[in-house]
Amino acid sequence: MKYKLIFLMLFSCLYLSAQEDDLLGEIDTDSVINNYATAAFKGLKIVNFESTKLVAKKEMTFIVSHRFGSIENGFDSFFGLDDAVTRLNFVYGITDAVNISVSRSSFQKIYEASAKYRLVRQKENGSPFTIVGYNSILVNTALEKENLPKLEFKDRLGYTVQLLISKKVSSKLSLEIAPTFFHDNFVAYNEQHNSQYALGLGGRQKLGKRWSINVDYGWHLNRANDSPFKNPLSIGFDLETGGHVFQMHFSNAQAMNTNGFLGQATGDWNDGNIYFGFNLSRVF
Amino acid sequence: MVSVFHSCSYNSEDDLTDNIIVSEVNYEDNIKSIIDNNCISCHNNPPVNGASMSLTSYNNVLEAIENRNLIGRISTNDLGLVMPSGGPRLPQNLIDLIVQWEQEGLFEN
Repeated sequence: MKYKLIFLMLFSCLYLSAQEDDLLGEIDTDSVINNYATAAFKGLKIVNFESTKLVAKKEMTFIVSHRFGSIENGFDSFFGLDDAVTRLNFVYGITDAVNISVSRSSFQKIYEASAKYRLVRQKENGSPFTIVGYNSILVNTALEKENLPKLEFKDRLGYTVQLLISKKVSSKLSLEIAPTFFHDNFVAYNEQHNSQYALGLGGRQKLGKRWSINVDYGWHLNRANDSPFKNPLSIGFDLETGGHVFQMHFSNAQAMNTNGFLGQATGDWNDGNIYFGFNLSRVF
Repeated sequence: MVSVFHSCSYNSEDDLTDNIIVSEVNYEDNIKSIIDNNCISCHNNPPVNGASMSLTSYNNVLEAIENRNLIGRISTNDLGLVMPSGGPRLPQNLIDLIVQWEQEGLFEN
């Protein structure tokens, strides 16, 4: 019995490593399994925007994101190191097409829960696009009743409804548009309407086997006049290393939740008031 | 619970704050509570979480306003720089009160 077990384990190891070779071989080829276009994006996010990639069934991905403070203050804050905000995010694949996620961000102490679900998948001789839905609910726990005497719990809530439409144009280039509706029950800027619309535009260009350059931009469609907030533009690089995807970038938004980077980005590329940041994701 | 998650509201800062009208602002009655509610979780004595000075006493706050740009740091719209760190920015009526206090001469009581 004992020998049988050891034999079985050895055998399964061999079998597994053989399987791993196969999988590794497939990672960077542009093979289409079932004619579906694969890996339009390698990260779950382009930079700030969600990409159309989902976590596989029964897999858990942990994403740590940092946005440092503005680099314009130079050495005084070590290019923003001293004023960093962090987001911890767990994403779980219920199926290959349905993911749920929870996160906590130190930017305004926001808790967030979201669902991401694939509706259509790009396919040769089929749909030219991949279409994914994304919904999230946010709770801003940094608002204080001492400062805002009439604050109620519902004022802390925000909602996101987003459609992510991507196309793998070639083996190197993928593009995405993301029509977005979001609502913050409380807005800090009085003239800003609580219900807000935006169009996200993003893309990924592969530079090498493990490298790509990623860009995304959020075009806010009903920003209040004289609002101190700006449209977020982010440029970054993806680096794949084994089970990690490491994304480094510059952005003029410090917030990492959709409502945050679309509604409350304050940096400005024109005067160097931008933030360095990274997303590090690890699959379990 | 379900109803909570389906309740949209349309509030902004003005909807959730009252106008504060004080004829003469002083630290004891008006300012200390703002500082205590918003700053001393880090600017304690001793300071924690990387804060560089304490704001627990009148003299601390005076020093921070005169030499450390306290008013600039709480009133900036740059959320990467604003205090309290990580935002949100203080409501405008509280910032205005601190500005008024400075203009009137920073009285202790």
